[in-house]
Amino acid sequence: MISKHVIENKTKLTQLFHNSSDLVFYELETLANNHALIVYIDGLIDKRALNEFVIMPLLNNDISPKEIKSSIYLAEIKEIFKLKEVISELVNGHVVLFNEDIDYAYVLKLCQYEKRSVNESSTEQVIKGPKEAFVEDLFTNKTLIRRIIRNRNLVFEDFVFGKQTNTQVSIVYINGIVNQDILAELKARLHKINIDAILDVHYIEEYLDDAPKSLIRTVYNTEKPDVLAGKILEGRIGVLCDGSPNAITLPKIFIEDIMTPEDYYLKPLFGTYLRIIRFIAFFISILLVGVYISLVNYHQEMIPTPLLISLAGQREGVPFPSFLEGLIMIFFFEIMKEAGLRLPKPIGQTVTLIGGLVIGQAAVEAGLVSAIMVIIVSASGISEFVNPSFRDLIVMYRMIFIILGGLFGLFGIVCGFIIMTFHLISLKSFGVPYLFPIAPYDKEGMRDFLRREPLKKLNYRPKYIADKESRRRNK
Amino acid sequence: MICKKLSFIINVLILSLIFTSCAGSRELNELGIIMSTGIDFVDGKVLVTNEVMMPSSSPTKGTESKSNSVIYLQHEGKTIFEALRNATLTFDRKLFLSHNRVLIFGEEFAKRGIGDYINFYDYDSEPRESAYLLVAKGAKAYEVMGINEGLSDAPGKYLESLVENYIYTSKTSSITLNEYNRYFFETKAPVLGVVERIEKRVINKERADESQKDSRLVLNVEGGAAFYKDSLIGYYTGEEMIGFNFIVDEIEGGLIVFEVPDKYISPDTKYTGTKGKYTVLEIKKNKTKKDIQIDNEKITLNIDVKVKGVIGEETKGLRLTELEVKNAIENACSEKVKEYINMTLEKAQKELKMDTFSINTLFHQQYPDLWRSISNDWESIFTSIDCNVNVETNIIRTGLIDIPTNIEKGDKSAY
Repeated sequence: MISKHVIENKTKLTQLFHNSSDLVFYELETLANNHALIVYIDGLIDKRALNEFVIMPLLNNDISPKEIKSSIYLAEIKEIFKLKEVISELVNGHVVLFNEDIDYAYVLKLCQYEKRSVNESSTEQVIKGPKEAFVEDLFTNKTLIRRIIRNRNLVFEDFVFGKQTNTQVSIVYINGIVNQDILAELKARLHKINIDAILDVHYIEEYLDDAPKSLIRTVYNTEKPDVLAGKILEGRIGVLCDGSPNAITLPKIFIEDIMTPEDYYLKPLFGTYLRIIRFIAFFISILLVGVYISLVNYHQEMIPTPLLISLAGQREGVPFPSFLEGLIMIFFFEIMKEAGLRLPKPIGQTVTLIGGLVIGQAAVEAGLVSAIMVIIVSASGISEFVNPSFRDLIVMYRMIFIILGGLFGLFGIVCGFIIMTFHLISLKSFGVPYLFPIAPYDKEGMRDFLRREPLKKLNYRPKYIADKESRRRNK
Repeated sequence: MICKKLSFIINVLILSLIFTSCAGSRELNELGIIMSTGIDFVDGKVLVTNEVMMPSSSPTKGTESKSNSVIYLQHEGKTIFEALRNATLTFDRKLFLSHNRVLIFGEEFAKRGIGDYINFYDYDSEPRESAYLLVAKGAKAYEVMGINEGLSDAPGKYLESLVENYIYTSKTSSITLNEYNRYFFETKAPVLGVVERIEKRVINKERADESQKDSRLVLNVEGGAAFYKDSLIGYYTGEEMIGFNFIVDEIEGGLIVFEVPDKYISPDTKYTGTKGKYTVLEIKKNKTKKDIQIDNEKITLNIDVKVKGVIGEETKGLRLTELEVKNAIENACSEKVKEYINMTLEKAQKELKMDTFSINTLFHQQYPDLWRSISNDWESIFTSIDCNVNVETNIIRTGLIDIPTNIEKGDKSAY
């Protein structure tokens, strides 16, 4: 409860904030001879506006406490009656104004704090098309989306999660396009969240994931507002989180990781070609090393004779069995990747140089690994970079396939592939089958699967994901 | 849930262990990759010669001479399998038969009969059934091995390419192991390829070895080896093989070289096809249809050949633009094909006394009831059947020119 005495409120707040040094109390006598107290957290507010629009009117004009709301030049001002609310407003960066003799306080929204400016996306680069990316500030991110979709049906719903951090989380969808069942399911899952702290949107992702034990992500994340807008226009729901430059969208199907926003900014035929390339690269990156090892260990008769002779020549003098050789190469490749990633940028480049020289050339010349294995592993590695969003899945599955191929030959590879496919088919993301256009086959969905359909012909939104009634256009 | 999944995966892995046919992993550097195999019969034992590829540790250095890239192993045994296993007593790697593309039989071995021994190649899982079978004409198998006068990096590959080149001449037969098996069961008379050593003049004397200053040996795969069941009974020459391939409809390409006889188109113009002047037709497409007619106990074999080809060369200038001339050329070509076919048939009937053309299968299809009564005497019946050959030649186009350059301008006599 807010007391009628300013001093009491001050002492209470001081206690509640444990004397924190950035909590600022400013007491003043207004022109109406009223004792007032302005409380805010230093660094979260716009001090110039506070001086100009709050303190100056209070000192220069005869304003009784009850009239404050109508005489202060601020768009956002409201009354609150509980001390608990005072605390939450303060930590959210608002100014609270107490007055003697009234048992409520005014909240003045004067947020202004340091944040990164909107700049180019670093992880999802496009040659053509919008380049701006989300920043860590939720409010800015919302405006970025609102600027793309200027429509009264665009809805933001705010939640607060995290006992300690009180992080603001916002879900965004377009009313009329969104599938209400999925929305209800998402809200149900959000209400189950019971977490101490949220530092990034991926904390929420773990709670929304359908298959937490699987390697496959059932939510999509992006850092570009145009991608998010495209997704919610297809009926998906976006989840934004304060302090995270990433947004997640759901439900996710397999092909979304193969697609890039740029497909839709290029000519349809070229976009299709690139998509097919990425699709092939996905399988190459997973299977190539395993298939090679199984071929040279178990199925030499399947290798064309000239190639076999050249392979045999290269393996001459290599001390390790090819299974071990493959494992070692992949292992060092992963280490190099991680090293290049973790180090500061200027040193990161030298890592690749040294790694390339040492592992690539010197190892072959020293006769530790065969040249063909280096080629195979690097081909697999390069193909991995084509689909960065599949990274976790590719790395793990590639390892599994190497072991299967080394132990059981092509038979093991085939078994592993069947299990992998079963797994993919069995997955669901918010009730939507993961291999959607293929596994429950849908002719309309296949239009924009590997083919990048011209926009003229995209009349339907994806089945299961968007609302049944919604069309992109009425023919 | 996860327990179920895990148990499923473990089950699949255990099953895969049981069901795998691969006995275990073998590294590439534990294998001796065989490129070609020669089989002979010496002193009551099988003598197997193998050409094993030497894996060079640096494939980029192509300076080594081509014959150094392989080594030859010889080993004996009561059977082929034993002989191959005995190889491991003297050679440090297990022989790997999957890439063996050529099987060469010595003449003596082929005459003795190959069927009892060749079984191994069907039994074992390693050898490919797409290996070419060849008979070393008048030689032991190991005598024709180890000659590489081509650009391939191994003699075995050189020989394999020679066999595969048959589509450009149709003068040989490229029979693989499983084709041999099929013919063996169906017609009892397969025709295998032939390989022999012949001498050639040395052109580049500086580059030749000391031993090859005067002449060099090359391999020649012209002709065919006719078998009865599994033993060699005679050889077809290269030209007879053209006829043979026409009869069995195995023509993939090749040339027909023929003379066009003189003919008057009108009293004052004639086109001349002088003796010794040839016209060459390149076969583009061929279809042979055979059927058997029986009129009152007389068996007649009808062979209808439809050749489509391109005129590729004329040593005597003939104006192809004249329809009459074109027809005359086509007729002459048909006569030549007929000649080839009749030559081959005559050889099969008179000399070999063996139906090497699967005509018995055709008979069986057309007259199944009659076949049962005569099948035991087929060999003797075959030698006396009449043949009726019809050839239709179709020149579908000429080369880049249609009037040969050796016709002088205004020369009315040349047509």
